[in-house]
Amino acid sequence: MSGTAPQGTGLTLRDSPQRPWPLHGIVSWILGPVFFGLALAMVLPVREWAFAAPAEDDALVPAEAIRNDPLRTPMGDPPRVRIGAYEHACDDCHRLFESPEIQHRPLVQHTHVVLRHGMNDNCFNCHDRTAREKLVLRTGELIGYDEGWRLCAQCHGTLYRDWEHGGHGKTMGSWMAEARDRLRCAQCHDPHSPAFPALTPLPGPRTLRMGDQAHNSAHAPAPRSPLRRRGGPSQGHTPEAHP
Amino acid sequence: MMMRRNSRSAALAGLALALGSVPLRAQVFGPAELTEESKACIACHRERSPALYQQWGASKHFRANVACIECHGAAKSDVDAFEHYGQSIAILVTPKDCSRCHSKEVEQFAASHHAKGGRILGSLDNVLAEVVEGNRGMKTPGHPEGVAASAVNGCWQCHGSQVKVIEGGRLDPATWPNSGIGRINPDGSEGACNACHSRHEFSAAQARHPDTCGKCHLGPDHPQKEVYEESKHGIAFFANVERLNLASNKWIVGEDYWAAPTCATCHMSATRKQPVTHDVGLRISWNNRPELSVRTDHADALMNLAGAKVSWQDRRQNMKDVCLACHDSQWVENFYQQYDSLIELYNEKFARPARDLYALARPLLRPAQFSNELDWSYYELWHHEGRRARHGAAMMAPDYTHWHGMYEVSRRFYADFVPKLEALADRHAGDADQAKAAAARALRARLDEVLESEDHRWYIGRMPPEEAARRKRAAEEFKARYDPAR
Repeated sequence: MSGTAPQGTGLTLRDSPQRPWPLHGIVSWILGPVFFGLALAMVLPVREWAFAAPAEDDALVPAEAIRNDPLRTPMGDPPRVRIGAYEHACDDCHRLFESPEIQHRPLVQHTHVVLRHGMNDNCFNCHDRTAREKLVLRTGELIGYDEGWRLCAQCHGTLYRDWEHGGHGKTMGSWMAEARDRLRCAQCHDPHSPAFPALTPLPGPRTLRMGDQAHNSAHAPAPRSPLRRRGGPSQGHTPEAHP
Repeated sequence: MMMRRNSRSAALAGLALALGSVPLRAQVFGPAELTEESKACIACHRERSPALYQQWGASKHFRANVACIECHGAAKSDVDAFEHYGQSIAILVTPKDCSRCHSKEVEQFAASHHAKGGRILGSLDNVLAEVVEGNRGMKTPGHPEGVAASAVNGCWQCHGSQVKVIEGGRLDPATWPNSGIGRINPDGSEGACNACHSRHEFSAAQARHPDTCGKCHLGPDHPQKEVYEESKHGIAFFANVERLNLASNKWIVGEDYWAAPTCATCHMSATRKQPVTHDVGLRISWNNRPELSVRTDHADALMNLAGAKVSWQDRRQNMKDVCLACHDSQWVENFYQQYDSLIELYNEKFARPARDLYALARPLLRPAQFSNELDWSYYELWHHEGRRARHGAAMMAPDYTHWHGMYEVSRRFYADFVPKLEALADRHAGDADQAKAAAARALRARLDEVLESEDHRWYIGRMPPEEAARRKRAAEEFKARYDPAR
């Protein structure tokens, strides 16, 4: 016994392909997935999917940023304007004063109105000079303030066509025709300065791979890839924060 | 910093624009000529109300062709509209009517405490006038249940009535005539521009005169007018009133006048940096109306006014900007230390202990307010005497601060309020009613605590020996100064 090399050592077993260790298969089957799992864990942001189930109070997009209401509340019909702390009908003042035939003058009232509408720079192109609580079409027809889109359609024909067919503008409610509500021109555009204001983009959606971007961006630049992200300082949610 | 500079230059540009557009305003706003409707009014009223007609003729409104119907014309749907020789008119011209042209001024005014003066109708002061002073003797169509003539002729004339419209667009006699600054109007607006801008001349010079403010800001409970007259500011005003350029369209202290400030100068009017404001609270940093003085932003928040967003520090900065037109910065800073110290003294030495003690005494008193002598003592302590002291300090009138103010406060406290409290506590100490006996014990304990505090221990003969020695030494020096033979 003493003169022979000890049998059953791992070294001997491994070096002798002729004599495979009987448990070899089972160990491989256990270790294989373990190593694979460890490798995967190095690649994937384990902690994210393991612990960071989106909590109710941790919405990525703040609730107030998601708005389904129109951007603007255009003038209703009959129009009312808030001047000097009180609501006035147009005729409260305009029945007193005849409007002069002047196109460009500094406004003393309605100073919030900024007229930046290209060549359409005459108040009385759209407002009637005497019937102040009405708008006026090129045909001379008086329309209510709730029909303002008919004014826009006079010049912006192609956009109007697109809007009619659903290609321009925002559709609210449902695609079903009966439940559909299409925002009208002045619910997004200021009729006096119709160019659309620059919008602030909201952060992207929360995904398993990208993690909570809103949270990341508060501390460090958003990672371009999950791999790169692991090299940086500790980020994302800690398990303690999300029991 | 950049933002601040930008906003300041924007404000200056806005001011320049506003000033520059003043001459335009008449052309832009006024009718091109007197309207036919107004001419019809004038045909009769120049005979029937000749002085009114002459006043209007001297006004800027006349020069802008703004005449009768432009202000008094009313939509038929208005509650106070009535038919008058074929025209629909209303008697009352409210801030809402004025805001058609003077929108900025009305906007500022509507945010001020002035516009809310009518809300006093349910306050303690009104219990005093309606119940204690008055009865339900004045019966009118608008007040069939009767209302107190003392409130109608007194409180409401400054604070403003709630105007009621009776049959045919007529106005209820209990509620009008009334030009109270917080008048509640039938169209829902609050205030009365003619409280200061008297009809029908609407003279700026008159509105800027301290007597305009003095219709209401005077008397035993808030003698701002008398305080001003006693101060150097008032002295300078009376000596130089004809040099103040009061009627000038542009009225900037240091540019258009410099000999004296009026009430308006400090509280409203333009400086080289600030435009005129019709919110009179935007330059004051203490609200000295309540029992204990509070900061003005806090007072605005209690009344849910937009001004709550303007901190008292910013308001003080606004006022300092006015001061600096005549005074140097050290003068201004030191004055504010003097003023703040007086408020602190009044609040902490008298107002706070008095408020605590009065609350502890209430269970031992007859329940109706003003049915006990102690109610009157406490009320006058803060509402009359305490305010006189504080207003006197705020506007630099030494006699009002001291003799009409702190002297009266301390006399009220030591020679009236405290002895009454002591008697009350003693009387109920052995009360059969256990609750009352307990209340008496609590009152006695707090009273002892107050009197043994550093501020009051002199009263019970327990001034610290070193303080007594210091005072004795000062008295001897005083005697030696005036009696060298000693």
